[in-house]
Amino acid sequence: MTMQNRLDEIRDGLLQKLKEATDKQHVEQLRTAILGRKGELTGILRTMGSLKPEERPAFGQKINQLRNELEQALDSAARTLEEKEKAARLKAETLDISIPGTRPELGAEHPLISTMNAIVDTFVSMGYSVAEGPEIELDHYNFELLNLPKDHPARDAQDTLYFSPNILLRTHTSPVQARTMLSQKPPIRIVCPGRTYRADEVDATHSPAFSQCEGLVIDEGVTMADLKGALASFATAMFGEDVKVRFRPSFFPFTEPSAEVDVTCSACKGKGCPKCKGTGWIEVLGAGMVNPKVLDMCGIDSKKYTGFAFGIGIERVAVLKYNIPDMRLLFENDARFLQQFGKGR
Amino acid sequence: MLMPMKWLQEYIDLDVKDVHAYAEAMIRCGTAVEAVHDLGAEVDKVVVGRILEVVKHPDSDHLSICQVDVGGEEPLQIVTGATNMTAGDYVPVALDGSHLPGGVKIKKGKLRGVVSNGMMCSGEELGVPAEVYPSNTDHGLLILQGEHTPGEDIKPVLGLDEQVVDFEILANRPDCLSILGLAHESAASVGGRMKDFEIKLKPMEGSVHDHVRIDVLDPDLCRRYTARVVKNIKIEPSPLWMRQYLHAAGVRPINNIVDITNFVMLEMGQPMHAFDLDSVAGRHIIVRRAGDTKQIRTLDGRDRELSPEMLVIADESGATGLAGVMGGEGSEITENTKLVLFESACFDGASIRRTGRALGMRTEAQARFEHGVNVHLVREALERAVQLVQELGAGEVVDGVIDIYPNPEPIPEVAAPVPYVQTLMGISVPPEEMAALLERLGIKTRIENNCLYCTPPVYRQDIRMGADIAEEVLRLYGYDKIPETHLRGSVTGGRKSATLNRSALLRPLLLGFGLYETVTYSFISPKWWDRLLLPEDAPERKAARIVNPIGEDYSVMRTTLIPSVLTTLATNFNRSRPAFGCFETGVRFLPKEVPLTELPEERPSLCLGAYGAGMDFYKVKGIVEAVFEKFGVKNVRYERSTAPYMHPGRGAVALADGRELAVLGQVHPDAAHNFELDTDTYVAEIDLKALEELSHPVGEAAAPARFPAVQRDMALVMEESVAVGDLMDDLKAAAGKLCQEVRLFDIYRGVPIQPGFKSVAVSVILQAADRTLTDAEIGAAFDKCLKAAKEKYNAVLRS
Repeated sequence: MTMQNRLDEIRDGLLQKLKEATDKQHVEQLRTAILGRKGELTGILRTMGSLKPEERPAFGQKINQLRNELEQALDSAARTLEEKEKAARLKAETLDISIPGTRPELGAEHPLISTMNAIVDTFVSMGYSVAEGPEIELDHYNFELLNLPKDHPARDAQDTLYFSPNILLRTHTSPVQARTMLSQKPPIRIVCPGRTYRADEVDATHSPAFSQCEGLVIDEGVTMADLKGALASFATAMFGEDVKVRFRPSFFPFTEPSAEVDVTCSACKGKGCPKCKGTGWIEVLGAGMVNPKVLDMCGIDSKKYTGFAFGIGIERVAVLKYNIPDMRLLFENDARFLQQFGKGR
Repeated sequence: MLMPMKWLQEYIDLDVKDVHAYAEAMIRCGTAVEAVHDLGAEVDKVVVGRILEVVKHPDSDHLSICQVDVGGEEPLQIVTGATNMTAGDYVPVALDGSHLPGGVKIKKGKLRGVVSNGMMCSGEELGVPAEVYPSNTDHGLLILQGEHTPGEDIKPVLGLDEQVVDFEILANRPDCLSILGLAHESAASVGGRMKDFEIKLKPMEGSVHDHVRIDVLDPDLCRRYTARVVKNIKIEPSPLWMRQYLHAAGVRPINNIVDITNFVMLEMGQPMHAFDLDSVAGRHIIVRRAGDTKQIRTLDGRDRELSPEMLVIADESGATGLAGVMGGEGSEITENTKLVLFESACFDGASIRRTGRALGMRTEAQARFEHGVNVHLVREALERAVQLVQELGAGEVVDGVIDIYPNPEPIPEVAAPVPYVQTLMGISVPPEEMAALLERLGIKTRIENNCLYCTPPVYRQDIRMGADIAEEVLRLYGYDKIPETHLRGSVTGGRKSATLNRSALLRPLLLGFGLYETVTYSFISPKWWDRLLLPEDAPERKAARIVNPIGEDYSVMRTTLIPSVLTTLATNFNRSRPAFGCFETGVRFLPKEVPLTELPEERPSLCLGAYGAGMDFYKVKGIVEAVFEKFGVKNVRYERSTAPYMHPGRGAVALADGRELAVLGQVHPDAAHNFELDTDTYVAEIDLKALEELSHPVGEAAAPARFPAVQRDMALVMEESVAVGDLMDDLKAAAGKLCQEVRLFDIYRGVPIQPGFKSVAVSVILQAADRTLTDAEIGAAFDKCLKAAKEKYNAVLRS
């Protein structure tokens, strides 16, 4: 056998074996067997010493050529097998992506607090600041400064819980308005969120403890049209872009003129349905222009300034917004009720 | 206020085709409507019948067979069980297919084999009480009085064709608590011309002064007192039209004199009282404060305890009635009354209100005085009452009026500058148009120097300032025409409060820990203090108490939110929720003394609680630590809690800077049981005021160190009593400035550690900002840790 034949045989043999190789380890064994220190090709190279000097360069060149060729073949085979193995491994790692994720249970926001926050955010974005005050109040701030003197029948509308003849649970957040007017000069633009209390029995539509967000704006030239504009902004933020606001004449001791404020019924979009008793409107709040007597009592010149005030019942808004069937659910705190409010924006 | 539409039309020419449209128009102009009632709505196909013949039923002892003319060609045969009818009587007949109140349907049928083509009705079956339409007996058929046409609809005959609007009258409009007032309001809101309402009396004789003397001793509580006398009284039922109006307006007819007082009250809004003057001692009426009089008996037969400030009506024997609330039993009108004094007065509303409240009384007259009776119309109402006496022939009116009105009150002119009114309204209605609208309300207006000068009609006492004028103009102009505009002028920046900013940090954090946000009442049951195992002198029991709570369970203001949270946990536990956690923010009401003499401190608080698998002391502590971390609270220490509602070994108090920040841990099993929580229950209450004050901002940021940190682990064996938290603090201090953190990774008890001891494994992490640490530095820090552990806790390196 000539040298050439032998080299061809080595090459053909290796290429054939590489075709049959199934894993990378096998490829490396072949590499060692041919190119390793004791490998076949290495062995042939060692015989070079027995050649005549003039034959040696050609022989060496030939061997090196083959060596390079074989190394490339081995590397290529190794890479291919490596890719195959990786693909197989990744395939084996396939997961059932339909199985639910693992995570801690999340809590849920209470609808009253979320509603309150949403209302406050609406007004803060319009330049109103948040004012707060005590829940246990003096009769002076809760009633007298608001044009509700002692023994006035309009007090009947606000059945009051008392601690003493002059200390009571505030029946609205209006005392915060009175305190603000006494301590701050116009322009005033505030909202007063907070808990309020009345001696109402607990039932589906009444609660002795509830929440309000009242608003007060006092400046030169403030008008009832400004009030309507402010409440229209509130109504669209709370109930949707296509909601309209309607004013009906009413009476509150602390405002004159006064209005009951209705919004388009969300159930029928104003067409009339059982929810709105066929009127197409739902009453949501009371509002009006601050009574000049109130301004004067709180140290603001009623000849120079006008203002408006409104009182939003948070429970009422939440009940309407989420169609809550019974107000008691709001204070019962059953997780099955509350968790609904953690699912959505 | 129930207003029968027919009664309204006595005073106004108003053609109302659709009462609901009328009601809507009134609402739009500011008179709220609660409901519209149709008195005959349930009555259908009931006509007048004339009984032609009555014969006994052949097969019955108690039935009769009647032939009844109902206007048809042939009489109807009707079988009845009634016995009070005779041939010639007019009776209501429910025809075949008719309807009666209560959903009753009448059909023809047979009674004991005899055909009956309908039913003859009693008053009760038609919803007409005997005091409105009396029959010849209390039982049996309603026998109609007078002549009628057989076949005519029964409704007009019995006043069942009346529609009644139930108005909700607002506190500023007592004038609308009267039919006349509502007529004025209807004329302005809906249209229609007011009819003349003139009170003219026929000639009278005698003198009122011959019959009675009246003294008003306390004019501050009685601005006006008027009276007239009627003699030769003939007590009998009032006429049908008056009884029907009263009944439709919700007042029970009694007799002519009492009905007149009620009629005038409803018609003109003025409460009236009629005295049997022969029963008034000395025929002398004295209006005064009760003073020494301790007790009187009112005409409902009840004894009333008086206080000295209450206004009473007295005679020479002493106080007999409560002015403006209820008359005395002694001078009540009876069947034998011959001489009557009519009283029409203006008592002080606040005084009447205090008296009524103190005695727990709530009469119609009282409510009207509270809302304000019109001092100008007191005498007119009296005149109207005696005019009705003359018209009804109820007695002879004695000439002369007593009118005690020491300080006549003028009707003020109200100045309303046009720009002011336009600003309030937000609409530039021209002054002439304003004046025209005001004219509709009877408000006389002149315009001078761009100012409206308005004189309200005598019946409107609520119009006293410019803003009132703006409202009157606006409600007739139309609230719907107010445009929507946005505020102009100086811009203000909106700011949130500390409470809301705090909530914005806390809510997402706590929700992320799986806690539900909750809201409960701020007033709680005092029994909850017992459930919390609090001793009698516990500070939590010093709570503000509501004097008129809606119930004992809602009677004290909470001084801690813990019982509220426990109740919320119990609600969910008892509804089979295996695990649940929640939080609530609110205030704790902390009085300086009870009963309250000043406003209590309202300290904001966050309370959280949880039960169920996976919850333990360290989880709760972890949440509390996370809250502290979020607010940048530093150097928090924990001490064992001594709160009685806490598990003695698993309760802690968190302190920082010497202040108590929170109480946390496992609830005492007995306390948990008292709240129906028979499971391990954990709570924490954080003082948000302290949290706020101890909080720190994020401050300056530093770049992370570029040199490697070194971790050295050590396992130390020590007695069980050693507090690991304290040990870790001391190790950190001992390791010096290079120590970034001491981290606990294991606590081991058991072989080979001897009983009573534990092995605590910690990692000490060392790092310098400016260099890689040398072995010598690391070794020195490690040795200092070991030395401190040995010296302070007798802890040794585990071999």
